[in-house]
Formats: sequence, C-alpha cells, structure tokens
Amino acid sequence: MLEFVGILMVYLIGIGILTRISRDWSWKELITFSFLIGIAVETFFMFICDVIGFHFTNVVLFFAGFAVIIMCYDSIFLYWQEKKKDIGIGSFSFRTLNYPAALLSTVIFYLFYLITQKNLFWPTTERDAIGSFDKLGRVMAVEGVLKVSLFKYGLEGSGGIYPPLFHGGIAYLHLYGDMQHKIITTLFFISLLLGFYAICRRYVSVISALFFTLVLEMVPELYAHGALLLGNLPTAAYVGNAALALFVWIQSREQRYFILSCILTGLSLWIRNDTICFVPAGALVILIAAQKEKKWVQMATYVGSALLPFVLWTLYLRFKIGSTQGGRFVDHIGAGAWAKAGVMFHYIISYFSWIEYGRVVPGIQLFGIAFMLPFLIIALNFRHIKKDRPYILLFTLVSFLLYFMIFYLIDEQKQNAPITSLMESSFKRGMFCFIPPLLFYAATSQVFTRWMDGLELFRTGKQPK
Amino acid sequence: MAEAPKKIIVTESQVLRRNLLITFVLMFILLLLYVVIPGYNFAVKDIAINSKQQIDQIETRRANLKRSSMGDPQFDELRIEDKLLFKIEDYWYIDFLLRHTPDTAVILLPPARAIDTIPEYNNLNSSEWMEYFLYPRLCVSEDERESKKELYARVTHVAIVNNWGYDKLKYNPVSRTDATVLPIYEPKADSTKATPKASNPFLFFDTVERRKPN
Repeated sequence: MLEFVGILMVYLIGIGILTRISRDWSWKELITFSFLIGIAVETFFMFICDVIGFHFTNVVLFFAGFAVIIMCYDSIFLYWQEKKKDIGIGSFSFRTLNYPAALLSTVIFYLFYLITQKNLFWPTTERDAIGSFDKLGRVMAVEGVLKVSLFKYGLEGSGGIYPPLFHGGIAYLHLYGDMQHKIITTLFFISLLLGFYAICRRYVSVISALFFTLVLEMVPELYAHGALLLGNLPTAAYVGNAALALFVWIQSREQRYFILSCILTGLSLWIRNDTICFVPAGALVILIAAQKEKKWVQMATYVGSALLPFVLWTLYLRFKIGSTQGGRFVDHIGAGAWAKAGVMFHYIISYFSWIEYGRVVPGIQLFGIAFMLPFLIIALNFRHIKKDRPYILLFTLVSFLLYFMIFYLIDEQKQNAPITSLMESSFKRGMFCFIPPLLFYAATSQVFTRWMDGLELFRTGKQPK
Repeated sequence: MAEAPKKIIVTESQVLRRNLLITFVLMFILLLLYVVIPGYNFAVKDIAINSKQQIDQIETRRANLKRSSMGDPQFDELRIEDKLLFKIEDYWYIDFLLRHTPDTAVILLPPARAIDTIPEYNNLNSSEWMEYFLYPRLCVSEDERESKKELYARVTHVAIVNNWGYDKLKYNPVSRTDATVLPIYEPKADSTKATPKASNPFLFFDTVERRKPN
C-alpha cells in the first residue's frame, strides 16, 4: 500500500513541474511526462543526498518530493480549475461509435493487461537485472547511498557505471515496499505508449494514432521487455518522448515542447549514457529548423541542459566511484576495422529486414514491422521528402550513425565481449529508441495522412479537420 | 479562393455499416500480421497468452490445495521464494545457503569447471549474480581467486556443490554430502553434528511445466 503513496508522489512531483512550465498540457501528456520527470527528480534527490553525505530514506525522499509539490501547488490547483470542466463521459451511441478505434483500443488494452500480469506475477529473473540493476536498487535502498558497499568488492555488476535513474527508481520503490517494485517497468511502458499516442493524436485521426500505438506496443522484443526489469524500455520512453516533443516544437513553435524536450533529453542521459548520440542529432535539427535570430541560443540551451546530467555523472564517477565512462573505448583504430564495420553492417541489415545473420533471429521477428513499415512509407513519400518534415529523418539518421559509431569504437577486449555478442544484445535492445521517431514520421507523413483522410471521409462522410 | 470542403451526406445507419466494414478489414489486417509475421505470433502466443495460462494453472493449483487443506494459510498467496523456486533452477540451493550462513559470512562459490556438467547450477559460480540473493553476505568465486584477492582472503564459508570444496576446509567434516555449505574453520560447538544436506524440494506446482526466464 505504501508503495502506491510513493508512486502518487512521483506523479504529483511531475505534474507540479509540468504545470509550472505550462497549463496547456492534455491529461494524456500530463500522465505520460509526469512519471518520467517525477521519478527522475526523486533519483536526483538521492544523488544530492549522496554527494552531501546524507543517507536517503523513504521519509527523506517523501519530504523532498512534498516540498516540490508545495512549491508548485498553485499551478497544480489552477490546472485543475481550468481542466475539471472538461471531465465528462460524453455522449455515446452504438450507431455512431468509432468501431475500428474501439477494436484497436481493446487489443492494445488486452495485450497490455497480459504483459502487466506477467510482469507483476513473477519476481526478477533476468540475468542483467539480478546481476546489476535490481541488485543495485535493493542495496541502495538498504544502505541509503548511491555508492553502495558492493563497489568496494567489485560486485556491483555492469550497471554500476550507468547513471542512477533506472536503478535509483528501483531503489525508490524498494524504499516504499519490497513486493511490487517491477511495477516500474509497467509505468515506463505506459509513459512510452501514452506519450506516443498523445503526440500522434495531435496530427492524425484516432484510428491512425491507435494503429501506430499498437505497432509500437507490439514490437515483439519491446513487448517482451514489458515484463522484464531492464533499462532499455525506460530509455526508449525518455528518448522517444524527447524526440517527439522536439518535433512538435519545430512544427508548432510552442515553447513548452522545447522545454520538455530539453528536460527529457537530459534525463535520457541520466538513465543511460550511450543516449548521448541523440544530443548532436537534436542540436543539428534545431540549428536547421529554428528561427534564424534565436537558433544559437536555442541550440545552446538544448545542448547545455542535455549535457548537464552527463557531466554531473561523469564527475561523480571520476571522483567518487573512481571509474570513467570512456574506459571501454579503443585507443586507436587498427587492423580489422573494416571487418568489424562489415559485421556490424550485416547485423543492421538483418535487424531492418527478414535476412538472418549471426545467431540472432532477423528483424522481422525481433521488431515486427516497426522498421519495415516506416521504410516503406518513406519510399512511398519520396516525392515529398524534402518538404514533409525532413528534420525527423535527419534526426533519426544522424543519431543512428552516432549510435553505430559508439559501438564501433568499443574495445572488445576491454568490454570482455566480441562485437557479435554486443550486436546481439546491447545494440539490438538500444534500437528501441529509434522506433518512436520513425513510427511518428510514418503516421504523420503526407502519403499516409492522405490515405487516412480518405478513410475518415468514407467512414463518417465528413472531411477530416 | 480556397476550395470548399467536400461534404457527402451519410445517414447514421450508413455510418454504422461503414464503421463495421472498416472494423472487419482492420481485424483481417491484424490477423494477417499475427499469422504472417513470426515475431507477432511469438509475442502474442508465447510471451503473453502462454504466460497467462501458466499463471492461471499455478493459481488454480494453489486454490485447490488451499481448499483441500481446509484453508491452510500457507496457500493463501504464493511467496516470492515460491516463485523463485519455480523460475530459478538452483534457488533451492541458494535458499539453503541463506538459511545456513550468518549475515556476516563471506562465501566461496565453486568455479565454473566444478558445475559445468550440471545445467541446474549454471549461475552458481557468478559472484555478481549470486550477490543479489546473498546480500548482506558477500561472495567470491574460486574463478576470481586472483582478481579479488582481498575478498578471497576473507572467506568464512565454502559452498560445496557436486562434491567440490571439501579441500578448501581447514578440517575434516563428520560426514560428506554432495551439496552443502560449511564454515572454512571447524566450528567450536557441536563438532560431531552431521553435515546438513541441501536437497531440491518437491514443489506443489511441480506439475506445471517450468519455463526458463526470458
């Protein structure tokens, strides 16, 4: 029961901060982003406690969070006053019900229920979670510090150098009760799906937004992660929503989305440091798409806010833990570089298609149509590619190339894993982050929007707005 | 001049018919994706539905046992330990370690070569993995003898598996079993006591097919 108090606090902290930024958020956006921001704020409090040498407990974190809520109380209250009139069941008629949307919603909810039941029934059993994330979370909750005693004996696991958002979040739930800490995966999954739907819905019909949300939910590998305590799905929730918020800002110039994108991009680096590849891609897109007179300021704000958590964690690793994030990279590119690039290239082709390579199943089995459908729509939309928001494709392409480079530069000996093993595990799971931007582009592309408008015209007899 | 929006007049019953038609087409597309794309088949059938069936089977078995045992409270709800016994093959041994060592223990785990013939023990030599269950105890594997010298020197107990580990003890135990945990130095009190034997218990849900974690 106490655990739900902790979760409620997280949402209220997020709502407080979001309503302080703007009171124009829809309730879907508020639910999505408040969890992502709220849990990060709690882990940031843990970080501050650790740095100043103060042990954190659930009471400390409760009052720290409560202080944030008190500081934002007026904006939360005003948001409630403005929005409560919109709460209502609305009219309902079986004759005019949007049946395709009802079907898609039912499928989405039922599949979500199944994976959530699985997630909450079984305790942690995944090797990486047992060996690192959940272990760190549990021990952090017991010891009340980020640098737990396990670091002294080299028992922290591979996640020890990762920024503390994910295992800090697990620690937070352990502090509030030990039984259902795996609910954190479910909450991140809700944020990923609801955020994608809410932003897509701004531009496309309900049917189209729901269809693409279902495609996102049913990415087989991602769906399996909905019942695991691993950091890849939460990372995709941060990166995906940060990217989508940036695209909305470029299109609508609503400042709140720019601020949100800055925050979420920063938090992407507070959960996993290899997401740094998205920062230059975002900065480049801002530089190209922003208004002329402000573009340097906006780019600097974006890069600065995104890199702040990265710098903080690098300093913490360097001075407190005595480790570095760059320790696993090659000193120089030597012989065999082309062969390594070739192997990686073959894996990528396999992930984007149905061609099998290595010991891993092909992309059609891992990601379903999540890559192939956007590629098909990009090909069909080729005539409009220069006019139809090319910055989305540019962002995805640049970030993917940088992501490729990060893995290319990993020293296989220092990492104690061959490139084939990295491509079949970390690289594959990291590709979740590229799915929301690509699906968003596909859903909102001119060619697909035209088809869906035709469908809406046929369905209702009214020209879609 | 802007083009006037198209307006086609349709009745409510036409809307209903068209909605149903689109729903059937959509249903067909979803079914087609499920059948044609192996990944979706795997996600829906193997990850979601089979898992639900397994959970339902376990819960039904628990409810039946509760009924037949006249409401024995041990069958009220499955404990985390019960679920771990079901999912993690060597958890019975880990549980044995927890029950037979003090919180301050530093446990020596077997090397990979001592357990590689028994798939059930596949993670027992990994100190990173075992620490999750053993905390606040510490553990070190025989494989880490050189890399973690400081911790290795502090070992207080030896995890004996597959008859490996007796040579690490500084005394001769009264009796020997193939799986147990013993202090590295001879305990002062009750040294004649027989060595406790770790054994894999029969679980009430052993009739349900076990599946490896994803």
